[in-house]
Amino acid sequence: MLELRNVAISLDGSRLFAPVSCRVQPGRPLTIIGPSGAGKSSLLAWLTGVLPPSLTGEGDVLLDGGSILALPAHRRRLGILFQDDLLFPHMNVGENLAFGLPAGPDRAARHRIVKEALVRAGLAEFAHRDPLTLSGGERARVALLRVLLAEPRALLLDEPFSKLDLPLRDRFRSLVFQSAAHLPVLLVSHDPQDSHAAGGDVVALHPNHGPCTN
Amino acid sequence: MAEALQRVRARSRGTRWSLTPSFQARDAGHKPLPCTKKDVLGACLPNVSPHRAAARSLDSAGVRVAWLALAALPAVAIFAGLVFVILPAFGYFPTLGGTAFSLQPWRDLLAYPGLASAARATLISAFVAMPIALGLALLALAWIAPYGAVRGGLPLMAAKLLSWLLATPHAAFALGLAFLIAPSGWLVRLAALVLPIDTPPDLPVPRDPYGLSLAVGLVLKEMPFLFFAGLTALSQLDASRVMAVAAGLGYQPGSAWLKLIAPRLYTLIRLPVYAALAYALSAVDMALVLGPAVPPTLAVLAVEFTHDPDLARRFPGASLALTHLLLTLGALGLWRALEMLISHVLRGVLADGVRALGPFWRSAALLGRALALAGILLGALAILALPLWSLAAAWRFPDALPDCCTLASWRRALPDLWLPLRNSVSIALVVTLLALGGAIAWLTLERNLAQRPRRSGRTIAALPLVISDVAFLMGVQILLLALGLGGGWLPTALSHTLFVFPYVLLALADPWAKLDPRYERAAMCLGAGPMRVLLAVRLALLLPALAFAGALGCAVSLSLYLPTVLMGGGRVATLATEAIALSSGGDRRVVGLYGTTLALVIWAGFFIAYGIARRAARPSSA
Amino acid sequence: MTGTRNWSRRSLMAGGAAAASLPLLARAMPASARQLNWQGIAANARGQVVHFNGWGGDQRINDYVAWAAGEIMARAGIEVRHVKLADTAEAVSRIVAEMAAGRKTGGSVDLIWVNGENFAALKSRNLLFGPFVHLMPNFQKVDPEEKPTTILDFTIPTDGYEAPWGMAQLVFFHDSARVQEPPRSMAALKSWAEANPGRFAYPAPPDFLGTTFLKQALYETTADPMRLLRPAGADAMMATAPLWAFLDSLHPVLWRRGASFPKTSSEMRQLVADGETDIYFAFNPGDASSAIAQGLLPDTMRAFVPNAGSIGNSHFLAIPFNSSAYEGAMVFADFLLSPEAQARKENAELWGDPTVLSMARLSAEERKLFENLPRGIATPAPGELGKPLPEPHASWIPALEPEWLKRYSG
Repeated sequence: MLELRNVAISLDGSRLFAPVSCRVQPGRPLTIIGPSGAGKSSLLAWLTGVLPPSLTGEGDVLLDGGSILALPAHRRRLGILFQDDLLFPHMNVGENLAFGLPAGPDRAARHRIVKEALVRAGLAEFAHRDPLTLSGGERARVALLRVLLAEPRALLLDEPFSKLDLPLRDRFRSLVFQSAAHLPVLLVSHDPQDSHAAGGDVVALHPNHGPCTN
Repeated sequence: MAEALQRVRARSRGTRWSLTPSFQARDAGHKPLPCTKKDVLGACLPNVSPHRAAARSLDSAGVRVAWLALAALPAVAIFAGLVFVILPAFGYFPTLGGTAFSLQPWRDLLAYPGLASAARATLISAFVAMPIALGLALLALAWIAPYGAVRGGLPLMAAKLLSWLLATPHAAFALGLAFLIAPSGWLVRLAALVLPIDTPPDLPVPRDPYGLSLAVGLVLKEMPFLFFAGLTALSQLDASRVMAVAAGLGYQPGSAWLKLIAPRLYTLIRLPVYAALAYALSAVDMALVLGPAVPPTLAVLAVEFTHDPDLARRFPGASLALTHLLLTLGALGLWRALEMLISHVLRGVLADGVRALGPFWRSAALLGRALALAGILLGALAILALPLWSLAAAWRFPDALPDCCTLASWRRALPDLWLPLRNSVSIALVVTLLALGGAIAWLTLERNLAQRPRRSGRTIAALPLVISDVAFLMGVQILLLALGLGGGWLPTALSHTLFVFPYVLLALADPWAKLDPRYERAAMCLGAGPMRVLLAVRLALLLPALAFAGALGCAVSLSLYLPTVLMGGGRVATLATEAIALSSGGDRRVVGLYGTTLALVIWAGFFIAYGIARRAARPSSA
Repeated sequence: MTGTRNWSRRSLMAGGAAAASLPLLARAMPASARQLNWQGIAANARGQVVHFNGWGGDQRINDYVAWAAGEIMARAGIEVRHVKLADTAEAVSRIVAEMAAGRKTGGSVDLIWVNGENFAALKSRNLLFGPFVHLMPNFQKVDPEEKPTTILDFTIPTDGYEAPWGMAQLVFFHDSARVQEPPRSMAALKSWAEANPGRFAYPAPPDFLGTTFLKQALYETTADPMRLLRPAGADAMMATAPLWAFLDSLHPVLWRRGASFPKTSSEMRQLVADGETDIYFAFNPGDASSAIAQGLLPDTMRAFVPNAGSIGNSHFLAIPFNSSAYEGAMVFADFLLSPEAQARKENAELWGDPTVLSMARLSAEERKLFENLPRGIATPAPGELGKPLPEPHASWIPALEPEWLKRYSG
């Protein structure tokens, strides 16, 4: 379980939004909505530990009962998906996935795991493809696979559906929620559709009030 | 590059700048257009892209011809230069009495004692310097600006020092460094404060026979160049989000940077790397000060051949220049091969899933960072030595500081300083204006070209930076001789343009491409003609970028040594050539004074550019 | 002072030697100049720009030239631009190239500071304007009998194609705080260097002084020094063998064990100034004194001259055949030869270069300019200098420089 306690982000000493508290259970995605500039992306940056130095965060974040704030970014094991797939252009699809896979045991085994994951995702022949030759939907699926192969403890979504066209968006959205059903999933969006599809709770960020409708 | 410099300077100013420096600088402070303008445009120009619209209103065929002519100029100059170096290299040049082709020049060249040592020192200095410079530049980037934005505190100070190092001309820097590292130099003098040193140690620096002192100079001068090239490139990599993804996947920052940022960064700065390698092989000014004396490096040797009163020596001189060209091409090929080898080896490492750097890499990174920092400090000391010397009454070994301070040297040198200053500045201004105009024309005309000719055009423009300038300049000099023309101000300025233009073009290309095209569409819809759109909208919005490209162009021109020497016909004394000529003269106070003046003029250019950029950004940054 | 790039000079030297013995074929003066008297020349000179090409590696000399340029502008309306050369051969090369390209007028060099091989190269190829020296009023104050090298440049007669500017004799300087008893011969120099390894350096030939060091050592080591006054021949190898043996044994105890050399004579002086070496030499007896006056050297420097005597010569001013301002060049050269300019040049606090003028031919008032000139603490008294050794015949240089390069470079 992922828990936020009185969390807020400040710029030059003034809060971008009123402090937020909420809990995210596996299988019940939580959606944070708010207008552009409300601080949604900054909130995710803070959670993952890559907040720019000009901003400061406050409050506490617990994952499975322990605070993660003291951990460096790479130890928090919070997978994140952006609206751009951010596949690494200097690696092929298989290497992108292997990059997500934990180290070891050996090259052949890693190869097999990647291949199986691709087959499961309906991308069987894609291992040697250049990411740039993939369609938007395919790229989004590869990005998702990559995050999941890294075995995160929670999944953060930064408007990952907004660049896909409508039919694709619905399919990918359900794929994400299905495959991450065992994880706490936190989604930020300005699209009410997303929160609807997520089916879980909704938190609105607002400069004046930010009650947690938990 | 200019843009990155601008960012470092901007980063150090008030809070508004430091907040979102990359955004401010990249977009020069304009806000995105409101959506409504897009709608207006849709109604105004259905199905017509602004590029095509611009092309339609200029004349399409004419545009192509004009662009081709512009692109052909440097190519023609280089081609002519090479032809007139190849002919005499094989003995044919009637003006000099060579009426038949022969291999005699090559035999003469090979008979020159010390040719092999000269080649050895040339290759060692370049191939020792380049990997180190590149490695330190990347390490400095990973430390100072891992995501493309300069971090505050110590990294910011380091970045500022790097920008000073970059802006310091090669000649002046080499002179400062030579004083710093000599056995009786500043470092030993500082050491003498605590150690009992009363006689300088007998160490072979500078001017060691293997060119290692020259390599140190090249490292310190190329590291800032590659650093700023990398900083510019980083802004295209979306580094902060890539690093966030990697952190989400459990990657420790160092490992993520090495696996995800460094390889892509390298492909983006490949041209600057090649240019740096070509420079390392052909540097004359730095090699004269830091390189071996007997024999010197190949480039210096080639220049010495052209100074021989026996004109018959121009034939083996041309052979040597041609050898230098082949050596440069061979070195670039070797470098490319090494690139491919390393990328092949590293390919498997990229996806091995290892999240953290091993202890070896971590300590290597720490050591590298310490080295980079030491290099930056060494460079800063080298620069500082120049003004200090110019103010010294006397500064004898082992005094750590001079008998300060007097303006006597300045008073003495002022009447002599005027002419080279006038030459330097007049050439730099004219050449830079020419290059800016050319770059604007180039980028305007380029817009309705396909990707392919566009790319080859840029490659041709960049040729003077990666090819042996020794070879084609010597050819141009021989051509001028054949035409009965001497050198002078005009040939010098034209040759400078060849080197300044690619820098200005590359500095301008990025901001040019990033400017939101809807501004121009909006202006067109309001009835502005193509010229007005260009002047009042595009160039006005790009003013900061223009100012920095201009400052960069001036800096390049002011630093050029070899073209001035070869094309000036002995009549164009500039600050750079005077500083080098005086460097053999033993009065470091005067050398320091010329070096200081040269650096001050270049720095002044960047400060003016920075002022322009700040003024331009102010109205919209509120 | 002026050096030529080297190993290539063989053919030039052959030409130079030939020219010395053949009737001169140098370019005749333009009719306008021949017909004009000095006043006419001076009138034409007004408003001209003279590009004075000279070695620019010594700031004291540059300052002196700047002073002279200011004076001639004020007095005769001539603008002199000092083109500072790293090596005089650069300008010679340019003049030769202009000739090859058929540029008969409007050349890039109007007046050149020259002597030795560079003069020989120009003269043998008829690239000089003149004879013009006899037209200069101040040349009457030079006495070639008293100072033969004012008309004899490295054994080659000047024939009026170059005006003498200054006298030179090889003088050594040592830091008396470090060197008690200076070595007054090459043999003594070697013993001293063995006792003090790394404390002596000489500039790499073809630097002018580097080559002169070889010639001086050749004088002191060769079996028959008089042989050096005649052109080098088949016996050159034998005559120079002791020199190479001497250098082979000297180099291991030189600065940086002989693996590197100062590139120029000024760099050699800089090494002494920096305390890296203790002895240097110069062609100008006042060199150390003026360097002390300018804060470049410690005031413990003193002069010494080899017991066997040292090489002496003169340096000159010549006008290339295609000078675009030969009247201006002549007027400027004449000013540099004037007692006022010569006295200033001899002042050890400014330059310290001995005058070419004969005191006997000066008026009492002019002589006064030379009396009580600061001579400097490190300048040898006139008696100490001894009689200068004549320069070896120019053809010995090709026997020295390429061989040196082959043996000790790289």
